[in-house]
Amino acid sequence: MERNPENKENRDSQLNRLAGQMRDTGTAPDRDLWPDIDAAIDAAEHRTVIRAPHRKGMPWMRLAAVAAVLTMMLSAGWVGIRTITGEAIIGDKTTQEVASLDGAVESDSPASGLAVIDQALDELILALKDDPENRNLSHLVLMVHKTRGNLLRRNTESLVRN
Amino acid sequence: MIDRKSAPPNTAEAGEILAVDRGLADRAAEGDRAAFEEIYRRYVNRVYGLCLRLTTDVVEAETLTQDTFVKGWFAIAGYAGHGNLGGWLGRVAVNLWKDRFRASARRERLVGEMTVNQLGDGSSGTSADLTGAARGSRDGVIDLLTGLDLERCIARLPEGGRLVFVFHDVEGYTHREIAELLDLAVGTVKAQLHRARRLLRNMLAEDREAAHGA
Repeated sequence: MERNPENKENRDSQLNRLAGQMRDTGTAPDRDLWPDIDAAIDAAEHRTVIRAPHRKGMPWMRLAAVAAVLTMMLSAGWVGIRTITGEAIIGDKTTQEVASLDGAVESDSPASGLAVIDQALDELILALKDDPENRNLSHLVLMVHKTRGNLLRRNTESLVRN
Repeated sequence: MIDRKSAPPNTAEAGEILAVDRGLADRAAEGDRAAFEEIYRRYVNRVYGLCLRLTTDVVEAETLTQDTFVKGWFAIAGYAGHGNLGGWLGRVAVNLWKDRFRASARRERLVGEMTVNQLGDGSSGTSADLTGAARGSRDGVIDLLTGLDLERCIARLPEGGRLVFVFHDVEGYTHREIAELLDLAVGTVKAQLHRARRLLRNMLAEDREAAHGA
């Protein structure tokens, strides 16, 4: 078949030309893929927003610590909190150091405190999905969840009293 | 990726396409989803065609196309405006395909297939091969064929030959780039390309003869 090299070259160049045309023309998919792509981008962007803290040196831990401290403050009051360190929660950080990590702890409003706790819970649950064997995380989730319930109950009681 | 095979119709038109591509890419990089949708409309056929040739499966090709555009959205700022955007998206698709391909058992099959084919001169083993006598009478018919004929024939190639042909002759990759992509020796890639071209010529000739006989 390849007896004549010139003929072979000619046929190869014809094949190349066809291949180039084929590439540029492409093939239309059976359906419009844009709606799925659009939705997938939205979902990915949403995930990115939620997961963004993971890429910045695990600030979920900072947020969780703040939430934990905040819940303790709201539950036990300032006097009690001075005696409680954050060591059980975040290792070598004291409560004051934890408090200084984020301005959210400055607030003593139950609503803003609840928002911080909710955000921390979301972050912790996501982190737990990534690291399901982490006992400290499990403990944190349970603790924050429990204190969130207590805070809600106290808020409700306070509203009823007023 | 450099588009080596098909020259644009003329310089002015190519420049205009490139300018539009750059404008759309810039807008998309700033978060303009409508601009990115326009990019999708312009290049979906090119990307889907490539994905279909790589996967030979409609569902896989659709998934790969979608993933390519999703990844493209997040990476569009990296498009430097050199070469057309279709080529850039093609490179994104190939990189995605490569990650999946390397993780799948298909790669093992491909390497096995290529090794077996290398034992001979690569001339045996598929129904697309013809006898020497039959082949001799079928030269010079490709010029009358269309891209659609070629598309059908590419899909019938053995996987190794199909991938090498698509990367080299359709997408314009070099032998070395293909060797790196598929973790193969450059010599193996060249042999597979040679074999794939010959198989394609024969298949195209067969198709044409069948059409004439019908």
